[in-house]
Amino acid sequence: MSTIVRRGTRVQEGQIRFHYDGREYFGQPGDTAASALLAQGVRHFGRSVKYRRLRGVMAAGSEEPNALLTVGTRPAVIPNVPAPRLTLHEGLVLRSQNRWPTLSVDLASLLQIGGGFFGAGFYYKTFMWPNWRTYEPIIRRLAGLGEAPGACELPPVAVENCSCDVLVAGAGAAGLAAARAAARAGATVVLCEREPVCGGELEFEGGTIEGRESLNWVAATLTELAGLGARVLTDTDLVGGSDGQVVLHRQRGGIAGADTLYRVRPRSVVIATGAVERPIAFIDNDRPGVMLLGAAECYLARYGVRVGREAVLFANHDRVYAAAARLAAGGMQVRAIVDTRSASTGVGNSLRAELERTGTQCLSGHAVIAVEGGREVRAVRVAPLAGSGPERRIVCNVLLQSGGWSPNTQSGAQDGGAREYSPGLAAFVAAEQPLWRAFAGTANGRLELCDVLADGQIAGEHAARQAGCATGAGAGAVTAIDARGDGAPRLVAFWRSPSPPQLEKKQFIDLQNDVTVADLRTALAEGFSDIEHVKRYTTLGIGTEQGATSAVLGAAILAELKGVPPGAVGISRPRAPFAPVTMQSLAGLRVGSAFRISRRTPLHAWHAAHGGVLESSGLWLRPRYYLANGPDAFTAGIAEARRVRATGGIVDGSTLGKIEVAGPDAAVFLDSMYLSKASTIKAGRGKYMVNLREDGMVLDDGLVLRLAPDRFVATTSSGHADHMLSHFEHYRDTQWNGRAVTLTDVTEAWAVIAVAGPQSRATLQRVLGSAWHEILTRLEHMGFADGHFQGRDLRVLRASFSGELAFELHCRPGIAVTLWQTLNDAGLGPYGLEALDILRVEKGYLVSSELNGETTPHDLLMDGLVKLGNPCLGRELLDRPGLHKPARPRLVGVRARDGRSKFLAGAQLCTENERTHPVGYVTSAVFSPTLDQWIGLALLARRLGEDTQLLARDPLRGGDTPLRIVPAVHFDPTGERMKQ
Amino acid sequence: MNGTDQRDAMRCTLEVLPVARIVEFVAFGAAHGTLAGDWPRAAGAALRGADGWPVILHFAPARWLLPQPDVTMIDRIEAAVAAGAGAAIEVEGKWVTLSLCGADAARLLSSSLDVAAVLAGRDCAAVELFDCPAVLASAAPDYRIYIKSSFAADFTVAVERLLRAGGAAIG
Repeated sequence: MSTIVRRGTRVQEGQIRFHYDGREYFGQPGDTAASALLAQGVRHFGRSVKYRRLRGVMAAGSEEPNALLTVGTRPAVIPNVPAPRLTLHEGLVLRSQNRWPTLSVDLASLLQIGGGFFGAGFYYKTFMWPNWRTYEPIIRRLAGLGEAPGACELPPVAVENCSCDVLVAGAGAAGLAAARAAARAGATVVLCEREPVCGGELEFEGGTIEGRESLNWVAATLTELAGLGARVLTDTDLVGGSDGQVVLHRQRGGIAGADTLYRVRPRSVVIATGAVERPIAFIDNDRPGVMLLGAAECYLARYGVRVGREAVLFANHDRVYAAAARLAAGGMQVRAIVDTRSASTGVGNSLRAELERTGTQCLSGHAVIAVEGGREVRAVRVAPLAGSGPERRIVCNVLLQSGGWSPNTQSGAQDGGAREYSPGLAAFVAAEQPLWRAFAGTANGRLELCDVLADGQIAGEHAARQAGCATGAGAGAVTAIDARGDGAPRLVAFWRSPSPPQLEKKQFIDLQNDVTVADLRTALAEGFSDIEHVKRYTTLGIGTEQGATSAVLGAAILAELKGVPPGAVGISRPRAPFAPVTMQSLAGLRVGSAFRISRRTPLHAWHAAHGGVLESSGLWLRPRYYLANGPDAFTAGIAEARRVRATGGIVDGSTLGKIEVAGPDAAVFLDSMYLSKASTIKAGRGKYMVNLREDGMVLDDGLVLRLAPDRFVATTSSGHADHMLSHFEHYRDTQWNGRAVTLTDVTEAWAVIAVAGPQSRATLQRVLGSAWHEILTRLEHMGFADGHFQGRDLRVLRASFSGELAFELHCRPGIAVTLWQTLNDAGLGPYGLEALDILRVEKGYLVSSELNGETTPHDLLMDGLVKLGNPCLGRELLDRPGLHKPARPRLVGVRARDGRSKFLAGAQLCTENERTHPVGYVTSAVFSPTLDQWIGLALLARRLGEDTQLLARDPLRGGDTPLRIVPAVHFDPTGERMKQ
Repeated sequence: MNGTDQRDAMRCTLEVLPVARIVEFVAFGAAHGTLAGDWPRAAGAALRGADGWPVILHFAPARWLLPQPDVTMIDRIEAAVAAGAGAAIEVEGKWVTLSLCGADAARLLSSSLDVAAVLAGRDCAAVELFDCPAVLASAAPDYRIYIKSSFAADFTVAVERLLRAGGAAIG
């Protein structure tokens, strides 16, 4: 454990204990896992996914391709956490990935020997003999990145929906300038920043802004923003969005835990997300100790960590000299600067002279050819790029590289945005964008501080105007911001060092997926030349860093290989999320019981308390059966159905859809929507009605009750009320515009209890009281009466869905439980959906299995209704010839020929002669306790006669069952029981 | 909202209000132009009572919700019906009336939708809150929420979960 207290912009004094690969380490408050381990000399952070090469930290942010750690202990592990983003806390347990048995000794690293066999697309060409399953177990063991977590309880995600005038993504110099400009113009501003602190590269670049030291300017700007009401969200990434909404994800400490998902609707957006420093491809550029130059500066400035003792810097721009000076001032020995630009390209930098004077060797027109050292950098080999000259070997233990910067333009490729190649920047920048979105600062290709700030200010002003603001005191006053920082970089594009062809397989482009220059060459040779195809064939940029460090490099090298400019190749289109987001965060609040909303009837609690086994019926929760009647649905259903036929029972029918139709034109409107007329219904009576779609198919069925001359209640199938209401409203508002008719969903305003069975009337007469006695005696089938029960509204309708003498009680929800309990106490037991299904199939009554949107009234034996000739919706197309062909189905009943075999709904029907050509299928099947055998309903080609011998074919569930055709009404065909 | 964190405790309470009677008045097409006086006609408008809470809510096209109408309101409804302006539907039991009160009521609701944007310039709105159909009305900083009764249980669970996460009170 080091006793040296490091100082930096993010660390404080103190000590935090944690474990990495079984060893104890110590860090300071504010440290990340990467900074703490680097400070203690740890160089190895994992092995690569394909070749299992040892890897170290390369970057200082989420673009880190190598140092992905597993956090926690099994089974509660979180894999693939970038070490530079993971904030330390006491007791943290970390493990490196992709190695077995240890990081130092990994048996799978022997794969490096066969490296030539594992190039791009190797899995399309190998693992074929004898078959791929032979290799599957070992592939599964070796493949993948990290370990899937087992049971892992994370704190719930918080979700917030909000809106603002201007959203600024990125709180570096440009983002702060943009947010300030927009807020001064009177806009409501939300500013999000990925890091835990604002400032971006100002944290280490220094400089002055408006006469202040840059970090003081950051603090003052944040204070001003707070005063102007701007909202600043740190640890928050812009991860995606569309259709005017932007999604932000906040993940404190760089690990899933207490995440917040923000759905923001801004009027305009400024993207100031900076740029990612780019590596250069050279031989063995993936060794531990090869890092990005800016990352080294970050570790020094933020955490006081010197990433190496003796450094060589390798770059293609002027900034390398300022960086070298800062690193030297921080205590690192800069042994050499390798600058790919020739001396004549204009390296007129006074810093260079000072560095040379203090012992740094500055080599222009040179490149690092290769790295020496198997487990970490020990030296680099440097050679001139032009002409002949000696190759040099420079001893060092860290190589810091910078090939330029790639602006973060992921979001600029969405919503119609475009990107284009900038030769001056040697990178892709946002091109044409929608009016409501602008890029600013380094994300917009600006590299000098004064340009970055000016760009941000302009973007903020523009965004405020786009949002309709410009009323603040600072509106319209775009003044130059005085700033001094690192000078112009004067970058000259350089993508890869020269290499013998056989060693191109050691020049890595995408470190995370072990994609090399050789792989790009292979892809081209095999015909993949489009960047999207190359990406997928080689796996370039498909890892967790999503091409942050590899996409532009890969595109440029591909362009070199093809002999075209990089702009002609382009880069692949990124997709959201632009930063890793846990599935839990995306689910938001829809987890557990909230995953799918459910609807409950007023009697729900009673069912749950009395052994009702509830199941989903659409969104509704309904009792399928009651445990008191049997241990399973089959047994209990039969017992309940038997009891209804013998004495009686009650079922909760509250889910029945109900639409109240009112107005002078209500009757005429309903006439147009149903196959038979509603206008002929007398007040106090109801009728069974069917409605059609425009194409003549049956849409739904139900009862229509006439409450008054201008008022009806139309019932629908359970769960269909919303759909039928929309259907009615659509036609009322379009084809029947101007009709004085209102439509109101009253499904929940009325609870429904169906009382069925031979004792139903007598029980109701006892329960409802003397006022109802005579009414119940005289009430005819399809008649109803309104009255009261215990002072509350009650409507009693005589209707049956069971074929028994039955009544539907419609009452207000507040009295439903009392009424139900009273009936139950009077001897009527409850029955559920299972028994309901048995009873209705026995009677040939139809549900959605038969009313499936593909059947006409003729198919369903409703010719009588059609003959009424009501000119309703769908009536015309019902007459088209196609719906009357012999192949059309018709509803029939079916039973096993042997009177006992079982068959199930869904079984396909064939004839004995044509066993491979279905002529129909079983729509419903139940075991009938009344008939003591399996019975069903089926849709069967109408050309077949009633004596056709059928075969129910059900190979997946039960084999074949010989069936015979019977009338669809299996029991009491004349309906005597119902008419008592 | 500057400085607040969505994970902070939610200082608010949820309470079910007993409402004996609720009526929906539905106009016949454009006939609502004949509705008299201060009947709220603009989309999302509401007529407020003496306590500041809406008594007539125009929550959907040509549709108004009248929670707990008093004698005066009933007279107005009957007059509107008599004038042929529309139909009055008794919907007792269709809506559960909830009161969400407290400094963080808006923040709690923002977990489901951007309540500030939805109610900007409006007294009420038909929305989905935590996937439940509802009518939302405000008398800042508090809210009245009329939830379709079959969804009320799941809605309450969703709100209670958020309140418990922050340790706040459940009414």
